[in-house]
Amino acid sequence: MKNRKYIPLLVLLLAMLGIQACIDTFSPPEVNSDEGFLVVDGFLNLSADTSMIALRHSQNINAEVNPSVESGARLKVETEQGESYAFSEIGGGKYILPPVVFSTAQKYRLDIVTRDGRHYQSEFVTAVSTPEIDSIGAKVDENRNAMVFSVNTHDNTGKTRFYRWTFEETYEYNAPLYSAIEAVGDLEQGTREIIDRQENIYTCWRSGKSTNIMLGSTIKLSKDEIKDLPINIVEIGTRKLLIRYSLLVKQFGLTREEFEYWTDLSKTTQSTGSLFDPLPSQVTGNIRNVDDNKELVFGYFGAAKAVSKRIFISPRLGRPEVCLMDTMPATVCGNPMQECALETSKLLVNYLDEVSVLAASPYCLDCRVQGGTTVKPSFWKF
Amino acid sequence: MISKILPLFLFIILFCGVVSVQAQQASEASISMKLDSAKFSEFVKQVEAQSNYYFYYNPERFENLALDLNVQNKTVKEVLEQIFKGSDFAYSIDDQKRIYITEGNRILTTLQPSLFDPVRAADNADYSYTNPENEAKEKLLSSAESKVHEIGIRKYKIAPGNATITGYVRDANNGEPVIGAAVFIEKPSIGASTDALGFYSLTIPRGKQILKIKSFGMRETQRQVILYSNGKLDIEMRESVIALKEVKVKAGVDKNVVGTQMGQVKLTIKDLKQVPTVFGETDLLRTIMTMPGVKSVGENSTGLNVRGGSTDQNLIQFNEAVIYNPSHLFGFFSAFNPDVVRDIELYKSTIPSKYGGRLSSVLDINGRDGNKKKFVASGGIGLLTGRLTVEGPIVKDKTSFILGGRSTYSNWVFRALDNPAYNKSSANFYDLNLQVTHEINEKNTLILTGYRSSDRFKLYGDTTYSYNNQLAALKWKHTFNPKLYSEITATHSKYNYQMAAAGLPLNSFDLKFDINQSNFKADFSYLITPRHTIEFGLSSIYYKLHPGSFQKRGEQSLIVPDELEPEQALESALYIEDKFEVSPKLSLSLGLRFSMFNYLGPKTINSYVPGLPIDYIYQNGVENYAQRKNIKTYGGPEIRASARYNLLDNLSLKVSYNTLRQYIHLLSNTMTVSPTDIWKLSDPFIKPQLGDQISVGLYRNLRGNKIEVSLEGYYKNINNFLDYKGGDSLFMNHNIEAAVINTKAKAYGVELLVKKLTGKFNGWVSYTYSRTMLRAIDRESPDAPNGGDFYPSNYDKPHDFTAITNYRFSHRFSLSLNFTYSTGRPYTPPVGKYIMDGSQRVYYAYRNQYRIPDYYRADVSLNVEGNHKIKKLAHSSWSFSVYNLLGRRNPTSVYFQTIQGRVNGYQLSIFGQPIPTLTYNFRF
Repeated sequence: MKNRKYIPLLVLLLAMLGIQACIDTFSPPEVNSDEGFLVVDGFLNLSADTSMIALRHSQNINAEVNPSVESGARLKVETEQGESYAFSEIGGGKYILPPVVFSTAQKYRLDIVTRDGRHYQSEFVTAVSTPEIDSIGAKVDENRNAMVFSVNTHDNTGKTRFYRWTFEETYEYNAPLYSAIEAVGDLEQGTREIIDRQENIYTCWRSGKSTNIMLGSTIKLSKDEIKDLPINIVEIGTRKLLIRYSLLVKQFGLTREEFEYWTDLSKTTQSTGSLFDPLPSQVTGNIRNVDDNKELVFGYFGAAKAVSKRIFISPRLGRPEVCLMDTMPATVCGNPMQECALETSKLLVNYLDEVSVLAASPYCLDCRVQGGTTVKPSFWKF
Repeated sequence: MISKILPLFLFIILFCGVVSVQAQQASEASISMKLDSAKFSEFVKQVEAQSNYYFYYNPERFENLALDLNVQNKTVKEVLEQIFKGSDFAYSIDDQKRIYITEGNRILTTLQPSLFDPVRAADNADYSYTNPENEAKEKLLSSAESKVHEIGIRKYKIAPGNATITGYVRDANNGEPVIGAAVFIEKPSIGASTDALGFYSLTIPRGKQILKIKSFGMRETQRQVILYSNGKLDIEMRESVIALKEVKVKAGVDKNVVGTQMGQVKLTIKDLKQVPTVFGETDLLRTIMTMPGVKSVGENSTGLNVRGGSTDQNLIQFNEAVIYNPSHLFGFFSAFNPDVVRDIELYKSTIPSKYGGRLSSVLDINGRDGNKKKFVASGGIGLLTGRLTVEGPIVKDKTSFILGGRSTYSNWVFRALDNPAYNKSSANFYDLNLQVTHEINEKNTLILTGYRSSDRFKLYGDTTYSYNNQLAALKWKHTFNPKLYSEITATHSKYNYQMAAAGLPLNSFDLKFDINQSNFKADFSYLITPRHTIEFGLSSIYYKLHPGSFQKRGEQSLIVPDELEPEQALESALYIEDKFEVSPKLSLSLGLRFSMFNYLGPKTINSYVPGLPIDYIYQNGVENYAQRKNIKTYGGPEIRASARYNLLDNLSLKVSYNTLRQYIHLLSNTMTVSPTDIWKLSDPFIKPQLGDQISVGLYRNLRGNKIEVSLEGYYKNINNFLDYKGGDSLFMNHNIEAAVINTKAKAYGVELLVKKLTGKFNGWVSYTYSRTMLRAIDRESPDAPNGGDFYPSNYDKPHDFTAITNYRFSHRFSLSLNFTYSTGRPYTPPVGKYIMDGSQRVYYAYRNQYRIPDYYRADVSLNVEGNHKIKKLAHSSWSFSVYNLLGRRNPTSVYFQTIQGRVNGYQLSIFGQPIPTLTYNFRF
């Protein structure tokens, strides 16, 4: 974790020396050695919630398609005492286990038998309980021109020590312009006309999941307390903070081994290759093919309680986008030099006067173009 | 005084004429004395003290005469008779008890009998009276070059055979010894070079000889000698007027072919200054990297990989004191001020027995003595750094000092940057050097060295990194007699780094690490015969390491203070090396070094379940050792042997075999050396690294030693080299032994070097083919990289070509052009990807199976010297250089990152465009 600090330092040193280090894209060589190794993604949820484990295969580095999934496998979780809980497949290589009350005093392992009979097992893992998130902080950092979200938590028993977080952000945004009218109907058949817009395409909600691995440890602290640890930085320039922003943070307690797994995974995939970073190494996890120890299997099976907390903020930071509008005749069509409102591929804003309308590109009028949805999320209580 | 009187006497005698010498009667006072290789002046002093005689003689003439005498109760006349018997000297004593010593003709102390009495004119037949041949010649005689120096006691008949001339070569300007000057005769070709005190010893046939003395940057000079017997001749050389003060000497002209040394590179500061560098500042380590067999991982790194060795396997010493981190700014600059350096020497295959403790190379950096005659200030102003050096005599001709400082002033650049993040950042470094040289007398010299380098960075106003190197060294050079010479050195080195993080109040900490070493060594060199030298000595190093301290910073911090126990150890060695010239064709050098390492208490050692891998999960307890208790001893003999055989007149074949041991390791799991890497001593788990190397080479000098060609091949094994388990943290790790894997390495290669260091067009061209492969020792371990098979090291670059050229258009303008090419460094590409927790992650192939694009770069620099009036206020020079003239974006590294859930590949080029620099140097 310490090493990651060197990247900015290096760039900074070079800047100081008046040199811009160049970073160019680099295409990795065509290595077709991938044998579609098993990837186990998921964990045993101890917090009386459904546990889900996805089985997929690894891919070639340059592959563009979605990875293939392992379906038809038999999955079960076993305790050291020999109790066993079977997962059921819900399709798409996903397997679920309905909520069960698990003891945190037990050790669990995952057992997988694939359709073609290969048998995989994880090591027995200690169950970890996770303390509640105390609060999520949101503070503007003027140096970075960004909002920094941070997490606070503590465990008075001092047992947790190792943490991992994921988050899901959701924000409400508007298209740059409000569209009050639209052209509907078929032009050829002469039914195309301008009417008041039926569906609101001005306000959208967009969600995104965290992609980085966020870890924290209090093992070197005298108290098991995490305070103001930044987990998400939202630049004001992204316009995510214009109206209302919500962050759902999930917190997982980890064992030391699982913490090390995630640390290694983050080191080898998020911060390798720069000059002072550790060299990449093979990170696999705690799952092995029972019959072939050397086969690569990716994924770490853990048993933990997941706790979450959501916050909403409406900081009204940033500047709305500005869009230019065109003026065009509303219904007088046929002039090759002048598009009319019935023909245009642009969207309509409103009437300017009786015979002309204002129009702009879909990007300016339809918030969905930017990737959001007009369906208000269920948790959005405003 | 006396020498001025003598010609006057001659004049009187020759023109006035004197007749009888028989008349004088010496006083019967008797004297006793015992002299051993004494100067004639010493003899004169003693005679004058014991009697009332007074000598008149030309002291210059007797300077080279060494006198052995043992007389008891003899008269002065008897003693003189004994000394000059058979020699060409003559003496005469007048009735006032004045002794005149002359060459050839003796002085007549009485007037010519015929002067007043023509009857006795016939008596004159005994003597001939001549006038000086011409006045001009007389004048020339006073200059040392044309003067004929007679060495030894003059005899009428010169006995056949050899005799030895010894003496010092010094700089006439400042009295500094000229080191490595070649003193030789041409027919037959016999030569020697001066040692660290400027002392030389040359055995040549007796008789008339012309002794030539050559040294780089010095005006070539010669001495005409008539060698009668063993004697002494001190030589003063003048620097060539065009050369700046710093310019120094190079090794003996034919050392390449004649010496037994292999894989040795010596660069003087002049060579170093010609090589263009990225920021215009002469950079020792970067220039060394242009030599065959010396590589580094990347452009930003000054970590040397010598013949496949890792960066911690180089013994880098400044005036014999070890420097642990020889770089500034994370490796962008080397931490040596070029103004205080005389030369650097790199040993990569035949490592002399007096050095040990590192496997790959010895890099010996020698500081320069201050000017003994006058005060001089010099310095330079570059874009980022400034330097200033002051030197001068403390006691003229005896004691001198040199004080140099260098610092960056780039901080203002930061402040000027219109970026709040950069405004709060800073980067500083400086280094300071002090060297005081005191020549107690001809046989004793003391050298005191002090050095400090310091770096400090602050990033975004919250984390501060700093590191320092400090050293002090005291060296006593003592010549017992012309055959036995010693150097006794005591040094202390310290390296420490600190990191202070204040980003999050709860997690603010101070992290510290330091290493201290105190070293004592005594080296002796004994010249049995000119063809046979024995070197022997001992050394002892006491290490004290504080491997890590992790402390609270600020009131709010919840950091649990943690401290790793200090480590201490003693490394001792004894060595003897015999250099023997068996015949003019064959010489041998055989060395044996015995080193021993004691890991000492107090210390708590982890213990592990026997039979299981050393991993923290298998730790079953600890064992405590008391203060001074010997915990673990390692040791063994090291062999250093080399031989040279002359195949043809100037073609020689050399073979060498070396074994070495290293007890201290640098723990680093990053690609380049970073200042926060940790040094670790061998302990019960971490075994010493062992290395052996065999090399064979062909050497040839062409065009009268102007062009040196060498071809060397080597094969090397390294055992117990440390590699790291994937991802384990080395930071404050209480089970560090569980984070490392023992690796073995093999390296082999061929190096070709063509060097021309004289003439208008000079420089060198080198080509290297080399491979370095690593493999885990425990091939079955699940942590063994690449399934326990050999894989290329990070710095494995098979082809490497470098050309350094310099063309001097005139005394004032010179142009340097560099070109360098090397195969791209290996890297580990990702071979597959998978989705984990919503993001794409990659996994990697076997280590280092692919290579980044090849590297090539051209640099150019133009040096303009100020005018060459000898007397002026300041000498100045300008240097304009362009680094990476072609602007090629040479990738330093490639890497793959998951950004926004997708895998992307990037290549980083540090100096991806031409970088022009202007530097101004001055001296007054």
